[in-house]
Amino acid sequence: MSLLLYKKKLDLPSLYNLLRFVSFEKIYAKSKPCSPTNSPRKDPTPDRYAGGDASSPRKCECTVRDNSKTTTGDRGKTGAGVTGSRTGRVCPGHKDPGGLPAGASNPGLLRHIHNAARYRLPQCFEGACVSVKQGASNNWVLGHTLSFSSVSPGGYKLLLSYVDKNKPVGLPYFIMEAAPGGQISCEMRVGPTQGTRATVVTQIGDGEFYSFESIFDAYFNSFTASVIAVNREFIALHYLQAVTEQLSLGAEIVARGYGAELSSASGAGRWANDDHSISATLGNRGLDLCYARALKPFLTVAAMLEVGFSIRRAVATLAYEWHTDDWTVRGSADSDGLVGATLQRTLGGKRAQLACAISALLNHPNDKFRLGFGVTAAII
Amino acid sequence: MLMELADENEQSDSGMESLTASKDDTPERRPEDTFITPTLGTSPTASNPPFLSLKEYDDEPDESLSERLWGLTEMFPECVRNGTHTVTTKTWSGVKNLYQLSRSLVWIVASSSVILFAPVIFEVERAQVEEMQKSQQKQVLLGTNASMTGPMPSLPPMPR
Repeated sequence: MSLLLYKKKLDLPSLYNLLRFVSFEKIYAKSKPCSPTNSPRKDPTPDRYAGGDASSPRKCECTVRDNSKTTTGDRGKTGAGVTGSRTGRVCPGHKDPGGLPAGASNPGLLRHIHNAARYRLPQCFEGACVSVKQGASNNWVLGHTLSFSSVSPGGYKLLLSYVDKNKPVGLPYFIMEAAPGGQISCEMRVGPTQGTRATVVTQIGDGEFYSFESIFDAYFNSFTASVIAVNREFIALHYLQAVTEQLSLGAEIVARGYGAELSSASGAGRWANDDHSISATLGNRGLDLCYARALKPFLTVAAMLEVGFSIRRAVATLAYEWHTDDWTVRGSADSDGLVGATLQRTLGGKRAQLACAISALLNHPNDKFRLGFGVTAAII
Repeated sequence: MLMELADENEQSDSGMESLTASKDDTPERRPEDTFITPTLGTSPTASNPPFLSLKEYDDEPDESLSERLWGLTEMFPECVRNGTHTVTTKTWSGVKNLYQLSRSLVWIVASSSVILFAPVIFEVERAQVEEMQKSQQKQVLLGTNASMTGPMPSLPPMPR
């Protein structure tokens, strides 16, 4: 029985999904550490919320962590983002809702509120990366990655993940990435009850915890709430309520233990329909405005404005994404003078065993250019 | 009245000046300074200014063309001279700056367009070419099928 089920779902982890195993650097070349980014990939069914648990009830093995010392507290260029927001965790081709209450799709999670626009940003990386994935029949996936780069330390990484494909929710979910030098990053996700999810993300290196985040999400019919605790440094409380089918309003409170003056509170709102999505976050740290629009079924454009009040910096970004079955192109231009683009394509069709990714990032003020190339092969 | 004045001028002009004067004479250089006939009993010494001035003026080379042209500028007032200088220098530096600006602008636009739009255009063109190839193949297949509906000649048996 399980064998039949596995054969039926054999095509699901097709190689295109596994593209996201390539570890990417942040697009912002000037910022110091990279955030643990995953390659964003738009869901084939236009998902206006573009993320969250409803569209991907099972975390597929495509998420990858970068072994860098960043935490959820890293909120983008101007520090005004929403705690915990990351890019790209959408697994395509999921039809079942995953057993979550309706709140998972209507308002979604607060940290995914800007995803409709953020997912259109290219995740640029530098250097070359070759990775091979093997899937065993008992839900375990083993992967090897070789990366070469002149800006970040390259080397070999081992990837291990477990996803229970038989269960509709796909939990528990576990993924771990380890380097021979002792750096390990792992993520684990369980569902204590049907309406709640608990996630632990940790990065270990040099015998100590670089970061330790625990996230607890609760889904209800018309609202969602989350508690995020990072590193014993701060705790964030999120709340997002669906006012109407298109409008959602929420709030975030961040409380810091040591530096009480760094605590912040902010309100968030999002208005979305099938074609447009406008989201805004305003707090004492800064302002974030995002707009995304689907011009055609395959073409989406996005505009973002981030303003940081305390650091007195503002950044505006324009991005687009052209997505087809075989390839995806993302491009973005920045008010800091950064222009970047990525191309991900399968070599040999949809069910291919091979995929490649090319990334280019040009920094006009500093006159620097970064080129990246990655190849991923799947043996399943 | 006018006639009388003219007569006076004519009478004072002996016309012999051209014998002793030359074209090099200017109001600054008086003819008697240039052509002083050396008198007996005197010798050229430093205390003899007319002789020195003669030497000075004789050795002085003619004005070059640019010096003469520059001298012409003295006929314009100061503000006209300064204004013209400012206009020309500013125009020239403005042209140079415009050239530099257009260089960097064209580079920024071209490089950004290449990075942003080259992959999309490349992939879309490729998809179009593939589609055309597929449709051509279909055409070829259909064509072959159409031609095969006619009567086929039967092959003779192989001789042994």
